[in-house]
Amino acid sequence: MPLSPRRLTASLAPLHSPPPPRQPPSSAPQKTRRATTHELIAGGGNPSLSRQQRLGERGRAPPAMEYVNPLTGFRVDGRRPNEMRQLKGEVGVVARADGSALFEMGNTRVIAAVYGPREVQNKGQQVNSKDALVRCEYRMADFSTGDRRRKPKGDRRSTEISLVIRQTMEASILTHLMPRSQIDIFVQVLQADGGTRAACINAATLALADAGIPMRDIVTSCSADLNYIEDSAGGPDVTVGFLTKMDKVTLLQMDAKLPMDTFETVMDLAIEGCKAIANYIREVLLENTRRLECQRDH
Amino acid sequence: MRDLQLSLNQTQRVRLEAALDELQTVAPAAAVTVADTIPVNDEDNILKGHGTSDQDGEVVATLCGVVERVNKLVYVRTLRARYKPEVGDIIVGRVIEIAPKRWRLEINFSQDAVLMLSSMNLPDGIQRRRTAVDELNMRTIFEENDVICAEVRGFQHDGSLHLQARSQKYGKLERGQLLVVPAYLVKRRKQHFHHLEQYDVDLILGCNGFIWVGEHVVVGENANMMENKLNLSAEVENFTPLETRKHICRLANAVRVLSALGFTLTVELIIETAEASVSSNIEINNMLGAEFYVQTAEREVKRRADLLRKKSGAR
Amino acid sequence: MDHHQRWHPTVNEREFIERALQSDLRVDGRRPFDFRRLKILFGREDGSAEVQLGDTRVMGYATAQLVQPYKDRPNEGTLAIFTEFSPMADPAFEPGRPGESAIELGRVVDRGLRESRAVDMESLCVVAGKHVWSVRVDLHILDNGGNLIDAANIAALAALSTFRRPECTVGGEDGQQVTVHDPEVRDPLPLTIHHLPIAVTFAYFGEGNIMVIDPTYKEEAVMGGRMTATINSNGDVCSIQKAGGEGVMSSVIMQCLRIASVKAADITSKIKNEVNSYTSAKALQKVKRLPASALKKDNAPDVAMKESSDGALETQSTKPSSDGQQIDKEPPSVVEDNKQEDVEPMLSECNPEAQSESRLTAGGSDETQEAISPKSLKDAVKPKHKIKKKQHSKS
Repeated sequence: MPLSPRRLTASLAPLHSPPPPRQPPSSAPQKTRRATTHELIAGGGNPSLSRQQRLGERGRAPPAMEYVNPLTGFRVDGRRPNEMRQLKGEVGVVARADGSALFEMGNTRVIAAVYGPREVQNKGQQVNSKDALVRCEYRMADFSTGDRRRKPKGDRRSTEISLVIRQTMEASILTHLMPRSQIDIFVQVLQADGGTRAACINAATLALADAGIPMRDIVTSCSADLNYIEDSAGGPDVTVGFLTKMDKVTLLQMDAKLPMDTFETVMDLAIEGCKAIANYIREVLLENTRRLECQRDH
Repeated sequence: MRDLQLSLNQTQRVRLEAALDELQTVAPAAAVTVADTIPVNDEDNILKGHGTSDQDGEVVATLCGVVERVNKLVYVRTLRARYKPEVGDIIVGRVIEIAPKRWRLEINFSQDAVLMLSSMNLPDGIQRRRTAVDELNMRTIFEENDVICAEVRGFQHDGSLHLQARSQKYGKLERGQLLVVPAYLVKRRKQHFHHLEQYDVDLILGCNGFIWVGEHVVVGENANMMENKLNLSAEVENFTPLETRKHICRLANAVRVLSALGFTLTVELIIETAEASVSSNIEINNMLGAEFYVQTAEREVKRRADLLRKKSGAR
Repeated sequence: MDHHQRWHPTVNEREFIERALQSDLRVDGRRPFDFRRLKILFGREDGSAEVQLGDTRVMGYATAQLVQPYKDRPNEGTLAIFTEFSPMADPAFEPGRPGESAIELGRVVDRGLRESRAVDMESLCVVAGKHVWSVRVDLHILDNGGNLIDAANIAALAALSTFRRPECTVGGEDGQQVTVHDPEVRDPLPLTIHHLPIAVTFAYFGEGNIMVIDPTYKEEAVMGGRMTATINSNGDVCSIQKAGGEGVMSSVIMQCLRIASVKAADITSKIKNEVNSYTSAKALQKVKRLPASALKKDNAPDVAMKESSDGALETQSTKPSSDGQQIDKEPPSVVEDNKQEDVEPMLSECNPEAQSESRLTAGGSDETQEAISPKSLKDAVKPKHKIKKKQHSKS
């Protein structure tokens, strides 16, 4: 029987992470979950809080049972309930790739590389010659979680995430402009601290834009921004992939039981997070484009 | 930087940053990213070109790049992207497969390009029908991993890209180096073949970002060389002199540095960079080091500033 | 997935389906938010169910086994979903390793059940940290007529609803010895199911403006995107899967969820009705079959089990010898023959209606066999030859 990957790592703290709170006793998971659903924790908010400030908050004893400390109003890692983690995006990190990017959300680090559009390698996979074939491979580095165990390639979780990322990117790539070709997207999680799926999609978007692949919109993704400790303890986990310009949701994954109106709030918060990330990603891309153009010549 | 793994020391880093910041002072107005709206006048009946799409009546960019406007045409010129062929482009490519009556070439495009046996001059130089024997002998003309130079003929009805090599100047490239740079660094010009007499070197700036630096070949001698190939003594006679080989390496490293810095590759700039390395006594192998890299950036900043001053002075 | 084998609509078919949808018409005559006809059949054994949703047929089969729990959840049982996409059901399914769609289906069903805590896991604990029940649901796709997820989800729920695990007690000097009772002696126990998370799949067409529920395989080949909402009859959202594809406005998603909750209530009552009629039919059989059951007043364990040296239970031991330590202290003896004979004639008389009601596949004469072989718990219970029946205190 396969262990769920979440379980594999649940008891271990992520690298470079604030000290984990004591695991809530399993007799009271119901209660803790309530706390999160009502004091929602999705992104959006205020990414500008300085690191210093954050570290300052972190110094206080982290609450053991609640994700949001009722006294201070801060989360276990010192964030405010609707505050997003620090974002960092960088393009051009893999020399041989047509496009590549590194994306960080807090302690989650993901690297993406795009090869193509290039000649279709396995003609058997080609559905039709009018559209580019998009492929995606998701890998989680063995050292990305606290538990350094060699995981078999192509386990059920990775296969599903590869599928999800591929279909999400396909929703934005203008495949009909690149007939008879294929685009390969490789994403690798270097460090996992919650929201890996979202970080992968953001990295893939950056890498595709860097490779000069035409897209109808910027897809960004934000999970209702749980970090690893919160995620392992079983809070709600909503991941949204959002087409910013078209104002449409392409990816939506959610587990855990939520009343419908609460879900709507969580989803809206995640969408806000996606919009904030989209702004950031566009800044990174614009900055990169400007730099390349300036260096090129006038 | 993408191509060179440099370890800059503190001073060098500061100098490089200063130089690159200097370049950015004159920012281009119209950089866009994917999903940015491109402002247009609705009355103008504009034509939407590459890298744009229509969303709810707005012109929206589908690529990151620079907005260009030519009369009524609005398009986005991409920077880092694969090569987009245009008919007549001179390109350098690498043979990857020999198929019936054709070679397949890797040219940094979204598909492999096709060079038909019928669209090239045979080594004997005589215009004639291609026979079955010619077909069998295709491998003696080009084999896998040969670097060749050709011209874009156009897209066939099935969507494949065809090349042609119907001139003496096209054909196999030997005794030299193939460099791959981003295609946007090579501008389309009248002249892509350059014979640098002072070095006895040929420089071919392929529009697809493949750059050839090799020993100079006298046009027309290609055919003879082909015949002499089996002749070992001829091989020895055709030995590339050490001096020429050094020139090739120096020019190739100049190209590498310039492309890592993201500067447009022109013959003038390549020669200038190679000369600069000679005059500042930098060994060929040190050209890829941090110091020369920073120097090249600084020199380019100065050159561009001078150009600007001349322009404003002339006014 | 092999794209060659998958059904590809011709240009005409594609256009026809899309055009018809623009005027709210579907190729099989349904309205946009109608499910196809749902039929739930139960097998002869507890915990097996076959679901037919239009042309789609999925079989679900639940089994259980005693295992060691995960270290971080020492007092919870486990639940796992396994899928089998046989090329028999659709030529696009490759034999051998499960493909992407098989994995996605398994994980969507799994998450819907597990993350919403539909099945009570703590009641599956026998000895904390040592022995818990591990429930396994196998989902076999028998025919792919589209919308496998919804059908598979219903099959899993139906299988879990009728599944019975054998009762077991803890005893011995150290209080660690687990005894699994024969289902004949002690009635097996149903799972505690808090709510039924129902998967409802929507297909989106034409830039996300047109949507339908329960797409057929033809609609699936044409659709631009798909969303599966798993929702229970209280309107709690248990899981959502929209794996990319055509973008949809968030207001449309909320509309879908509201529709899904209505559909979920319908399907929940359908499943509950079917399960109830099945269980009452079963109960009826039992009453008629074992009139003497009132006389069986024994509480003694049938099979006792000990831990093997490595801490795992020897649940499947095939050792022929009946080691004294593994069996209870009562002197073993064989069930009296005349009692069996007593039972049999009653069986064959009583059950024809009950069987047809619950669509049992086998005739009444199989009951004896069933009495001997443990039901659907091959993994959990010792082989027959190890089962020692206690002598009845029939005075």
